[in-house]
Amino acid sequence: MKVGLNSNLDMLKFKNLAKEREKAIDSSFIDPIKYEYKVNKLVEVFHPKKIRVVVDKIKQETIDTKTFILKSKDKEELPPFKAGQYIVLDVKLNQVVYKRPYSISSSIKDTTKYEITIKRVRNGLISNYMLNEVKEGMEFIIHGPFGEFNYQPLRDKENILALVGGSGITPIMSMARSIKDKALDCNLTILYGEKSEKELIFKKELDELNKNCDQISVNYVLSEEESNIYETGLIDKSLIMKYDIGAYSYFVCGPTMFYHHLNNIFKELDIPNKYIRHDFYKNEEPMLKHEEHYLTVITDDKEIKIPCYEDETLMEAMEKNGIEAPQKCLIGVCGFCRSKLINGKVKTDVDYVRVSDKNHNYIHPCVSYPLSDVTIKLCK
Amino acid sequence: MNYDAIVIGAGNGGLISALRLQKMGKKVLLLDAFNMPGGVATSFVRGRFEFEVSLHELCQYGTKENKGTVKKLFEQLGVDDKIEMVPLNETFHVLTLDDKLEYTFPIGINEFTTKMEEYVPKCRESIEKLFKLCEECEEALKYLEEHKEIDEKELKEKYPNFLVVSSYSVDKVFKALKIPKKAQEILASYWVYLGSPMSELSFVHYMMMVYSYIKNQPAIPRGRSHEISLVLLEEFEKLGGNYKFLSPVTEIIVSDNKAKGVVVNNEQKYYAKVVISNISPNVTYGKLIKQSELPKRAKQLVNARTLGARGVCVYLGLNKSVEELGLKNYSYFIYHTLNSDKEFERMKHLKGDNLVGVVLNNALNDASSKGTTILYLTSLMFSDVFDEVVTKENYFDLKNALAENMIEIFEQATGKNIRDAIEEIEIATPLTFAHYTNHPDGVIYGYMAKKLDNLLPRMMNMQNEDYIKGLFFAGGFGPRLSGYSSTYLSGDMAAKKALNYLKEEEK
Repeated sequence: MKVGLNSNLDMLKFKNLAKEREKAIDSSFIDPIKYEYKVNKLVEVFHPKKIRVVVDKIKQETIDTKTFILKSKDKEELPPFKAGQYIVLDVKLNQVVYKRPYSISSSIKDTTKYEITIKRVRNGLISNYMLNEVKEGMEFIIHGPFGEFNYQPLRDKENILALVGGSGITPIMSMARSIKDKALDCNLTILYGEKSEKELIFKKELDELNKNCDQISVNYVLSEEESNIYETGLIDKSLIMKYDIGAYSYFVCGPTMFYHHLNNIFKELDIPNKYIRHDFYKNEEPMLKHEEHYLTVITDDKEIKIPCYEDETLMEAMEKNGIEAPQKCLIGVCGFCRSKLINGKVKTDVDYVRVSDKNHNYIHPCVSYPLSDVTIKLCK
Repeated sequence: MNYDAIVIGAGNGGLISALRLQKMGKKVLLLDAFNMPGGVATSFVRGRFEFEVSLHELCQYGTKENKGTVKKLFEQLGVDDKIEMVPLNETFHVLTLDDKLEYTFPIGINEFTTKMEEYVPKCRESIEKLFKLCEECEEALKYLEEHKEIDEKELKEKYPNFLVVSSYSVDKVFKALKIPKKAQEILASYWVYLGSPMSELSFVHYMMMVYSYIKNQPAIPRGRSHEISLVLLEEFEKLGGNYKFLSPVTEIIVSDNKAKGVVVNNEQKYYAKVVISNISPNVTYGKLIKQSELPKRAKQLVNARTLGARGVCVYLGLNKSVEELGLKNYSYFIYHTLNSDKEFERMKHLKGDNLVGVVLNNALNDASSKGTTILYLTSLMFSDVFDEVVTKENYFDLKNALAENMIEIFEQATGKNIRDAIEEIEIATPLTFAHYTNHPDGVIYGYMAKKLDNLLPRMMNMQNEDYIKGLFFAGGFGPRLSGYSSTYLSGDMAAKKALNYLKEEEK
């Protein structure tokens, strides 16, 4: 065979490839190397490793709910975020750093501050600390913003029906405020379920939005109080069916039970997954025994053995014992706490583990409860 | 703490380097800034979908009967039987927006040639000649890799045609082989995978990839590329390798023109005789090494090069099956025309007009739950145009506008409705890649393959470009260029260089 590139200098040409390359390097310049572009600098803006913030102001919202207005200690502005995203707050208590995810409740238009709104949880270590001890001027480290509980026009209907249980109102509040500020463009109907009227967070502002903003409408559903003005009972199938169910994307935010309850209704109503977005938080322990097991954690070439009860997650046990494990969302979704189960048995209800991780025994400790003595290896 | 070798970055190159060195009995520390192995060779979960981040298909893999170089490498490293690879049954499927042309090709040299003849009558002779030439080039490259000292006479005798074409671009050799113009253009379809047009890409480099796709069946791992990364890391660990995640390297310690170790997080120091960098030379030389310790020539080399493709990826979880959607193929190369030089120019702008679509379920029928489909769209940019346009204020909207345009282009080319089936969507931009890789401008193809920065000149001058003793590079910026198979192989090359160096140092 012969290729019609006629040349007797083939060998030379071939050998010269390296020489020519050397020559090209010779004639290149010695200026400093450019290793950073605008996008690299914007990474720092959008995804800083951590942010130092100051509690600029504290607002009492209800008898056991407060809003904390956080401002950056070092910069004018905090990272831009999408309505519905959360930050992780580091709370140092008794030499242990507790990490807690909180949805941002303020508008995306104003990034000079993030507002987080925290409700007291009975016996909740962190919520009680936040409500009782934290004063204006105190400093914290936060991480984020993170999360995918956002309006996405390429996917969602332009009409959102937000189904809210209790303090699940916070990310929805961010959406509502952003719509009012014309920074977000969709129609938002909120069904806000709470025990009683006085426990409704942001009630005054929501009433105003309901009255003055064409794109927002708000309805309260009170579960433990009779009312002539508001809906009463639970957010249930008959209530949802009052709406044109095919016209909405559903944004569900509330405690785990609320989320399961609504999922059953969606199934009955045949609402496609595509139109259901959810964010949730754990507010009650699952029905498990308070039996004691031992958890061995392999990290940084050390093995640490700690007690771990059957009704607490591996993450909670590590946290109590001062073991710093990677964590973010605490509901099993983000995968940041991904760890290898070396031995033992765990129970989990939430399943966002990758296929091959599952095959290789990786778990998300933030939603894993021990059923026996357990050994895990942290990925850090 | 002292190690034989420290590997910075647990991407494809870094994982292979670390595993090879550990397997050879060295004491290795593998570091990464994130807490997952693989870099962008990983996956992520949204709702009921698990999305691959970056792998379209692994070339040079092949089957048991017809092993490719990557499969052989995985066998040597003892991981091949731990990864479930699924072979693909098509090479490529290309569509044009302007003339509405459409071509689909099967695996296998004969099958491919026959199909090409159907599309372009009377091309058989030239195509057969082309594949013969590819076979010779493949053998010649093997010879070059196995022989440090080249016997000129032997090379000339055994591989005369390889020598003839070795310094030419793809289009020149195609012309010389008298391949009909239409067949030339169809054969160019894969050009976006290497990110340079036919007039710039070296024939040997481009056709070695195409030949491998056609000859050795490409494959994908069942558990996405995450499965490979995970298995490589576990094997490394099993052999006693140490790794530390969430540990960004902030300095490479260099003195007397020798790598001595690294500093992690501005505080913790680790020492080693060898440092392998799986991150860009721009950052390695420009940021991590004290500029007073940096050889002038290292600066010159980086400054002589051009960054390769940047990209926008759209990950779609669709709530319809492939049958319902009417998507029959695995890959969809979508261009305005088949003229790679024209398209390359077009892709210097921020329009997202040309793209590659991948329908994962057409290779893995259980890639997502019944009645759903995973579709990826990737659009490349051959300039820093995204960087020029993006701001803090417009980023979220820009991201969505680019994705929307890409979805429309895919719908226009295929005539199928995608938009109404979107259940999950995630969008990655150069900013996203910059976040996860720290590469300058979030580039995903390393340096551009052009003129003297093509495969052969890179490989042939490789030994002369280790400017700091004990510092070697693995990954997509390396001598084998970017892409999965290339980065795995470059990781192995870096490890072998390191082994030689350690041996010499011991003397």
